[in-house]
Amino acid sequence: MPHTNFDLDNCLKCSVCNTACPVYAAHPDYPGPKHLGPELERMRMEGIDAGVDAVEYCLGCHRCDLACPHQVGVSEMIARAKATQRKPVMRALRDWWFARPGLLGELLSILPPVTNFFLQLAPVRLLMERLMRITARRSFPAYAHPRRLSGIGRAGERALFFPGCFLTYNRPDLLEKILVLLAANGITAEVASSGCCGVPAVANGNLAEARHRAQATMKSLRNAVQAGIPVLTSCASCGHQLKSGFGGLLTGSAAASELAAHTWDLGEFLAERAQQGLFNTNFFTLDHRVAYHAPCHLNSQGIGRPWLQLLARIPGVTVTDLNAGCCGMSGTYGFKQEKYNVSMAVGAPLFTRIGELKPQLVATECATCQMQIEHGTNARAVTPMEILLEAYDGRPF
Amino acid sequence: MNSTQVVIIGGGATGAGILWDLTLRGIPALLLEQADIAHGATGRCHGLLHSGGRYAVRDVETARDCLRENRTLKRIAPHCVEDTGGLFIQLPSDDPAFFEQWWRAAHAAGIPTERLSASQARALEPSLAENIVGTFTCPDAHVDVFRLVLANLEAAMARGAQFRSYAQLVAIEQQNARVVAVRYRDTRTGEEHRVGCATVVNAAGGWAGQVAALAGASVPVTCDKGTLLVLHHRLSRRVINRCRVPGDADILVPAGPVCLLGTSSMVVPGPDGLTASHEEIQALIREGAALVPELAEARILRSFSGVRALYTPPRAVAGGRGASRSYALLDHQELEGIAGLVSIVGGKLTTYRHMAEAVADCVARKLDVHAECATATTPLRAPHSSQLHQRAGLHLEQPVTEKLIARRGTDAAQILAAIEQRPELAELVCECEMVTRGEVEFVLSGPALAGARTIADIGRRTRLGFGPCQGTYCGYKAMLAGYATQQWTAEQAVAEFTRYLNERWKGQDFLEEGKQLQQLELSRSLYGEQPLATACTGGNHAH
Amino acid sequence: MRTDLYDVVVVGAGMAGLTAASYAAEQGQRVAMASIGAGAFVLGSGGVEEREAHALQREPDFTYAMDFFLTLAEAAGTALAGDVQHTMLLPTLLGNFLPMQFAPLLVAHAALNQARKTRVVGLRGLTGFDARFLAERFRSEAAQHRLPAEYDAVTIDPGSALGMPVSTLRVAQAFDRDAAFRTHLEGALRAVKGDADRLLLPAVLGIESSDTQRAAFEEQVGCTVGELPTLPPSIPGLRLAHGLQQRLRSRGVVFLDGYPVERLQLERGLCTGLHIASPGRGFRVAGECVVLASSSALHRLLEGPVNLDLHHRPLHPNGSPHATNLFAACLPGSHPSELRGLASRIVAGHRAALAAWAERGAYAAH
Repeated sequence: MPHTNFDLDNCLKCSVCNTACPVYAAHPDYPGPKHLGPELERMRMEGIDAGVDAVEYCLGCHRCDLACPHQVGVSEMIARAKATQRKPVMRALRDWWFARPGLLGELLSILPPVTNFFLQLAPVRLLMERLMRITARRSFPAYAHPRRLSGIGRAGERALFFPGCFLTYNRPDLLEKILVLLAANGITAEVASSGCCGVPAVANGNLAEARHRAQATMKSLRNAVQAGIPVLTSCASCGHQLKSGFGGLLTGSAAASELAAHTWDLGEFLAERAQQGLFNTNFFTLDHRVAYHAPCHLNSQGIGRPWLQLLARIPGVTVTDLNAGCCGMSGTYGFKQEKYNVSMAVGAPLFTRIGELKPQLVATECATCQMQIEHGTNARAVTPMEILLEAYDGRPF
Repeated sequence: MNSTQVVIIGGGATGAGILWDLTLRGIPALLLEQADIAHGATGRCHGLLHSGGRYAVRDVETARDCLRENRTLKRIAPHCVEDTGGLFIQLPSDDPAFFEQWWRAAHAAGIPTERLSASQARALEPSLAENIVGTFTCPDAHVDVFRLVLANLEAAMARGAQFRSYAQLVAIEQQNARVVAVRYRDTRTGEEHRVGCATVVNAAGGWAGQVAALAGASVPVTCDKGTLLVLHHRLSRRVINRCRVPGDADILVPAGPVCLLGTSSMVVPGPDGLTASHEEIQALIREGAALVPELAEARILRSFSGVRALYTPPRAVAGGRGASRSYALLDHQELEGIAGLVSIVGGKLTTYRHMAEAVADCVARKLDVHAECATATTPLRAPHSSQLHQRAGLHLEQPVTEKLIARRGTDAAQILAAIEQRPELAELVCECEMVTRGEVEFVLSGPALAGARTIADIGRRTRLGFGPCQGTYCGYKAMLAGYATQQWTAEQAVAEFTRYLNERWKGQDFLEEGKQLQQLELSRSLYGEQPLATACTGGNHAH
Repeated sequence: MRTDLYDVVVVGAGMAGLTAASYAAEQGQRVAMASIGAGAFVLGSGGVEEREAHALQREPDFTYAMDFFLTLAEAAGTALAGDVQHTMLLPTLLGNFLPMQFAPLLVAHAALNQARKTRVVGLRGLTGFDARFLAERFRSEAAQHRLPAEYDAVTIDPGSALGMPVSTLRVAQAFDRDAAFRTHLEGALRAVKGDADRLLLPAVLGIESSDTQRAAFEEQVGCTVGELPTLPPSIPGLRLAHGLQQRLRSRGVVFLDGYPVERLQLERGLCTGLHIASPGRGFRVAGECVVLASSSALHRLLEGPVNLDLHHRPLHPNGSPHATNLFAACLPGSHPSELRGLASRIVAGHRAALAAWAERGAYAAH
């Protein structure tokens, strides 16, 4: 796996990573990945206190890694540094919760109507902002009762679908649609009950929790992996996590490598089946002018943009690749009050581009990209899975 | 100034230590150094503050001296010392009898040591080879050699002592077989100066023979060359020693953000024009990789060589590791009847203060000054307040603050004041070693004692250019800083930078492949294959 | 695993790769570019030294390749000035002048002997640039060349939005994104212009900006504006890369960034696929023709020294090509130092692309 070739020694201080970093361009005081990564890493290895608050502002988008001509593995160094950063108490408490969307989801989806009611009450939001530094300027996604889903599609090829926290606790309806979509393609998918993949834990500097989640996830997927059943996920962040040895936390683990080799992004999976002639092309003709936004964690999987290819096959659908940078949301990042402005500044070029193109729909598989796009523009953002299902069953989403 | 009591020749640890010792005894002194601080052996060694473990088996007295000085230096110069601790590692091919001998000898010398199992050692230092047999701990440490020399000089100069860099000794004047003056030439300006004095102390290391010859005295010195490699980042927390009869590439020393591997030993004709051969370097890597396997693939930033000056009186065996490492104090009045000339040769960095004490005792006696040595108990730097950290934290990030204050101590206050006036001085000129523009301007300018006159000088005082880019980016910015503070005209600045860069490139000459070679090629492509050989003007230059 | 199929796959996004991909894309071919990071040219000023151009004059296709590239660069909004007849003396980091054959427009505006009175403008707090230093150097160089050109220096305030100190990259990004900053900069330059007929700035006038936008900026300032080289990252180099990449994107070229090509699939004398070391299983692409335009990829994927046949195919030591649809974008033989610059790579990329174009359709069945 390429991650094991990433090395601090490789850095030639060329600064190309800084040119690719969306936060560097958006925030005048952000030192940039070159400094926060390899430069401070040598200081950390020396054992001096190299704690710099700015590491908190790293989006974890991996664009620095992709742009680096010498494979330094910058973002992993920054992620490790985040874990040792001291934070003020309330922020640490907030980030503790943000690191555990599985736990948060379990609690908030017990009584979703109550949760959703309170989460949009202005006084509650104001209190959250004052106390916990959770910005009141955004809406929370609605929570819903998780659904026990199985047996959709009869006797098709087996697959295990890794839902991720968002589909489980916020969009079980979409999860069901994805299973229907798979069934329409001859795949009978079980839903894995794995819990969180650990990306938010890494992003919030809780590496111990991330490792715990990694072990739990691997354990829950082990049977499928050993039986050769493909593990599918539509969440780009979960996909990156499962394919990369959990963000490098489990580099060297044979089990993690095996899981990586058995994980498919949903779009990647369907595009592969399309090449094998196994993709269902019984489409209704639609009428959609779509702009596609590739999530950063899809780019970091290095598999191209399979949903672009798939959507382009649907009659009546025209797709343009937005290719306008990171949206700036990065999961929980954009919800943090101190980071809200940076988040919006990072996404500004994307918002502008959407404003220029004025598409009917913006398609992106990442839930938080979706939220950010709807927050920052007038566009309607949907997942490509919903568009595909509409092409199958003719029912508008 | 045109007269003083004592002129010391040689700005290494010994010379600087003598300057400080004499100053504390109230004896006015001037130190002349032909290039810049720690130009000779001091600036070209591991910077290992020995616990004595390396010498215990062969010479218990030397080991005891080392241990005592190790403790003394940690007390008087804590800001120069990183107390890393050390390990002595036995590999399968090492003599087990030696290992046991080491244990007994260390105890005889009073060196605190514990025996560890291989797995315990590897738990402490994961980069150690898997096949290590046994380990001893010891109180080895790393001393920043430039910071140490500078600390001695600054402490002395604050109390009135004088120092001149780029001062090439031209003559030692005598009248009636008594030293009366020295003449030296400033190699950067070309000006010659004469300084009257009563005593000359020859602490010129590998050049001691040449200096003595100027007075018609003889100091037979054998130059034994050692080569070291600088690695990109720290591979261990502690000093790693090979537990065997001392040989090549036995020691890996963490040195700030890098680590140093060495060394070798071969007799060379003199202290100048040193080169390291490809085979020598490959041999170092091979030997070192036996201790720490990742050394085989690690990125090497540069190689450098220095000489140990070994006193070899006429009837001694040829030099090398067998020759005595303890020092020789030569009173030329006794030896050749030349009054007022004393030479000090040999010794090691760890015991520099002790050597300086012996010399200062001798000089004080000659000058009839009755003052005891105070260097063992006088700290080299005044403590700074925690307020300084807080104040720095307002403008600079944590690691920059730590480095600034560790390097400059209370002088950091002046630098912070400048940054408060002009925020652009917070710019990191050297990003690898966290050196701000404010600090660079400070070491270049008046307020700094023993200030920098060249970019390489800035490097020795701040570690600028010591990191992965080897001066590619920071050297350019330092040049601009020197220009902006009117050290140099534009043309002189370019000439200085050219010289600096060529010297930095020379240390990477041995590279045949790998990341450092790419870094070097990047550097060359930025400034052209032969940057401005034609732009060099004015003065004669030290090299 | 799926294998995305293209007409041409180019490995390496340096100047050789960008040239090869551009040629193929301009012909209407479906192109994919696989690369890790940008090429080394983003560290340089995007120009061609005279000594390299001189060494390449002997190559019969040099003018043809350069014409192609110059047309392309202009269409991309990042035109280069210069021609094979005339040399320009352009400033370096150290303030001396280097003979250059081609250079980006605003970089070329800094040529010696191009203005009577030049004012070098620094930005307060900008790292790695000193206007006074350069002006003094230029004066001395002009004197050595016995030219009456005058140079002086002035410093302007970049404005508080940028923070202090500020890097060239930040200023360039502000130029791209912040109209208020551009206006501020125009105003500040107008204010210090005085009787100078040329202003020289550090190269900070945007990465995403076009020649048209920079020309408009010059007009607002009211005199010639030139760009001076700075420490990496080099804005003109990045600008050229960005311009070419955007043009390629508009032609539908697919970029596969970030992971190295670790293996070539060679079957029956053909390259039937490239395996990219993406996380997990990796990723596969195939091209009817494949152009290797990265020296590190060439050495990693093909053993031994790289010899080429007349069709720019890399050969085994025994003289047979590794694959009949595999081409290398490098110049044959060893490279003296003159032939390591931009123009050599443009020529190499162009040749490889031509060779691949000549083979189009030959392998479609496979």
